[in-house]
Amino acid sequence: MTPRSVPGIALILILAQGCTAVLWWEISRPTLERPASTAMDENGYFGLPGVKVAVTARNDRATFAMAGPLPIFPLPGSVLDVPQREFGFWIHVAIDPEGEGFTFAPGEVRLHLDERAGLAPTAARGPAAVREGSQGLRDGAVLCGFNPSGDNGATAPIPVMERTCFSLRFETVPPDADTRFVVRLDGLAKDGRPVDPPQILFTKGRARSFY
Amino acid sequence: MLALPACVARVPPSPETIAALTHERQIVAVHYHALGTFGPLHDGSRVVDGSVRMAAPTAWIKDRFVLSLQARLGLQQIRNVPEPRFAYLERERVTPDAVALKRTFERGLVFDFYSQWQYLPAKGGRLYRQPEIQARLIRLDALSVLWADSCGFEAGSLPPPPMFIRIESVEKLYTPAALDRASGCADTLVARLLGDRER
Repeated sequence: MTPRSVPGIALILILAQGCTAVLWWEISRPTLERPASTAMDENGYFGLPGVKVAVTARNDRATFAMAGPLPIFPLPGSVLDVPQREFGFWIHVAIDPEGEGFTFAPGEVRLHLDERAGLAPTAARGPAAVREGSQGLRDGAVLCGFNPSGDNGATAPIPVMERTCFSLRFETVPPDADTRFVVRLDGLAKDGRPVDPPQILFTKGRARSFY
Repeated sequence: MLALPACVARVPPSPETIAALTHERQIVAVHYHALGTFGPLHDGSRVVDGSVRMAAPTAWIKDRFVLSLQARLGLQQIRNVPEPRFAYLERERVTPDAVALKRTFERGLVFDFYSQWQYLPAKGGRLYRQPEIQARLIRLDALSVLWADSCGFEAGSLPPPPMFIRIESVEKLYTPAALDRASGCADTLVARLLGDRER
């Protein structure tokens, strides 16, 4: 083997290792409206007094992808993802309290689509762990992972002592990214006293993920 | 699936550790989820899960450890938290993140009990390796580990997990004899913390 062939063999070994992909998404990006406008941290959380919250809407739509041993083969969004027309819009809510005494009642969260009255969730999963690791997660997404509660999640107030996640289902077709909507986190309390409900506005955004 | 055993640094106890225990007003004992699959494994028409993710009975060992420590040192200020915690692991993926404990309990000392999940086939049998539990005593103010140790026990051959109902707890998957050996594991941890001579 000549010294010149070494980079070539290394390149072949890299290319032969398998596929990777980069996906571009249209998403509903959250911003905190109330109680105060606060920037989202690098993990997708908004910091409030004594608690951090993250809310992720599950209406992402892939618009473009590059795939291959090196990501060179383009795939248009039309072959990746079609807009969902079935009922069942899931929203994941992660709560990271500081100290003890926090409770959360998932059934009290309200989704405000357009000017309509707030929708209450029809199903909840959790309390669950927040999914860890960034593999396959697009930037800014905070999703629920290991769920010891099964599919029958809590809707009444339950203690939240650590970073905990809830998935809430709303009986509506998932809106597209152009639709503005608001999630109001009613149901959060500290030592029995309701916390001023964080209100999160979702507007169109873009994100990437790597596989 | 191959599961590599955790490589946990052992921190021996010092006289200051025992002094800290006897003088600290807030001591909490917590454990992490030891059951990763709750079932039912079969929904009547199809198999949902072909195996159960399970660990050492962390709550069982913690309870025995706390009772023993209370009896030996007369510590009544240990609060034994019954609810399991989620194990958000540190970057090295070996031990749970102590920062999460500080965020919850803020100050004082915390004992935590963690065990890695492994897989029990739906037909029962032996685990890939013997269950091991890691115990730590952490001072939350400085996030310093005052003591860390681990112990394992022989689980033996486990009966098949229930197929059609939800699994109540990880203890239900062990035989009474295996749970006895798990209790021995807790006694070993107490003895090492208090500096008893190995029997």
